[in-house]
Amino acid sequence: MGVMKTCKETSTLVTQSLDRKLSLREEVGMRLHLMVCKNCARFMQQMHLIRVWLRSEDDGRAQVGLDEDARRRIARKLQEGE
Amino acid sequence: MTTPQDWLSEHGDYLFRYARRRLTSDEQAEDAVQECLLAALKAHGGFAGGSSERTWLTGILKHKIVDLIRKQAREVTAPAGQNEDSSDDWESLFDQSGHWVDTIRDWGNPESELEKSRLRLILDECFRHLKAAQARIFSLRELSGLSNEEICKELKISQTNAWVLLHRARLSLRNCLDGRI
Repeated sequence: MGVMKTCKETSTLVTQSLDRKLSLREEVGMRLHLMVCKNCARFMQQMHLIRVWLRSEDDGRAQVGLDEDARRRIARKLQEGE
Repeated sequence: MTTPQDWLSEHGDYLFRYARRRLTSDEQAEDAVQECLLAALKAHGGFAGGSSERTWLTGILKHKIVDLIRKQAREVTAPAGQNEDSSDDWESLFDQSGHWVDTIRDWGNPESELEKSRLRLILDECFRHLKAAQARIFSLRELSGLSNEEICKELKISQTNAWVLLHRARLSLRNCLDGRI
């Protein structure tokens, strides 16, 4: 692989940069491509947004909880354990 | 002094939601909550105060979630990263010369809490549609915050395999979200 990356290579480096430290060569190749490619720059932004949204706190708006049956099942187990 | 039954009524829904975001079925989330409360019951002497009861229970729940995911991964006969993922079509996102086939849309950066909350619910929904092996590793990495080394140990897979799975999970989530944003 040369220094200049394709979108396919760059998108892989973008996701991998979230999970490992890129080598200097990879980092430079990715940055160079991102400077000239709007699609990949947006892709990177999307990846970061996903991470931020996922890590945001539960605000309780999901309005789901244990249903009555589940609650009873767990309560019974706890009684057995006591 | 609170009893285990109090924990269930006061924190049950919260713990269930917490587990539900990190596991792909309600059944598993229920199991995790149950295991958590049983462990808390055994360790009741261990709650020294300081942190809130909810924080203490959540800490126990985190471990139970990782345990469950590890157990599931062991039960799967095919090694993670094979079979299940062979039909992944991320290759088709690019043309022969490696360019994106479609323009990548600008998602913007929603500022309002309501909008963020809405997007998080969609994202949670998309997470539940991931392929099982992708969901497991993604949960450990992003939602439980494990390091790559820990993940490889828990799931017994190689580093390279882990990166490939995570890459695919991230692309799947992006695609799912992109259609609904």
